[in-house]
Amino acid sequence: MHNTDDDFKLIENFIDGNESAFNRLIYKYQDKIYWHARRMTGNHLDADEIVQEVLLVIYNKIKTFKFKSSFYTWIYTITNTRSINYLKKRSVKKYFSLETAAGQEDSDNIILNLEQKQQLQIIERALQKLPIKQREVFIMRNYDEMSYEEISEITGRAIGTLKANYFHAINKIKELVGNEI
Amino acid sequence: MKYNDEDFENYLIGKMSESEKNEFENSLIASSELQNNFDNYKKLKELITNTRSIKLSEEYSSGILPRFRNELQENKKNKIYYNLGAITAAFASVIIGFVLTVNLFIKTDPDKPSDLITIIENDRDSIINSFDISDKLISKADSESFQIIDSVYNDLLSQNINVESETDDFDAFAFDIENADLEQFISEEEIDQIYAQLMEKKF
Repeated sequence: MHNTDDDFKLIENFIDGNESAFNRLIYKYQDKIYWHARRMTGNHLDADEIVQEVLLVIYNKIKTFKFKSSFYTWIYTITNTRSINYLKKRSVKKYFSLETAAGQEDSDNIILNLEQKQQLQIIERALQKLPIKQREVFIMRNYDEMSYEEISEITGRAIGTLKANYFHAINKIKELVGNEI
Repeated sequence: MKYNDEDFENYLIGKMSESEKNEFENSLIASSELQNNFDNYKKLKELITNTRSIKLSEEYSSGILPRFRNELQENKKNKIYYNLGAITAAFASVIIGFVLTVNLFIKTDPDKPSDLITIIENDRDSIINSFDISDKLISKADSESFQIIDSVYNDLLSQNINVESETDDFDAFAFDIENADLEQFISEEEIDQIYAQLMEKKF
């Protein structure tokens, strides 16, 4: 799925000063970064902000990459952590009423297919009703098709805990989606 | 038999045997709850499949990297401005500190005394004035003291006191007047004169 040898070569080239190697790496993974952030936050503007933040982190920290795990796992971990941090900040802002409920309509020009857009809104609404830990496991299992071992590596949580989280998540989502459609 | 999501998945992807499949379908007909649960699962799966493959618009997708590069340049510029600002602020602090030090603590123009010099000069004048007052008091005290001492000795002489019989009283009185005090108010010549008068006197 993700050619790690190619990724490693591009990383080495970038560390050696080849800026276009970084562009190629990002171009390969930018959609995945966006979609994970989007599913976690539930709207385009927040996801877009996270994407830019993640790219900056990758640019500055890529020299610390150990070449032990795949590059995809590495950037996925960064994206997931940044998304969770962003959600925490957002909830604090919401608590102090610093954030207005804007931004949903701004995603209109991002997804062109109308039916897909409606379906996305349904699943996003349902996902936002899940606790963050259940939400991330659900997304990783269903959208990124990760095994529990991979999820455990990214989140640092035990497999048993992840399974319990997923069980609760899917039951809740089924109910929410069933009522929506 | 109780069915779960795994069974639903196996049914949907055709992983169930023919007999398992028949049994499951019969259960669906028999239980509305199971039917409802299975329908929700199917809807969710469909929703996930449809939303998993959404493509971002080319306009947005192709703009991610250029925006990042612009932001990176901005960050670098801001970092330079931030460093310049920090250096300027530090330099300004040093200059202000220097100017304050020179104005407050160092007198640069001798024709124009600073506040501190003025205060010192005022103090000096007041001290001199106080000395003048002290001199006046001392000179006044001198004449008065002489008069008191004279009157004391005159009284003693006029009463014709028997010194030998009242040596103890005289000593006590004499010791009350300390030599140091006497020297402050009368000169040595005057003391000699008083002693001479006392020696000539016959008690």
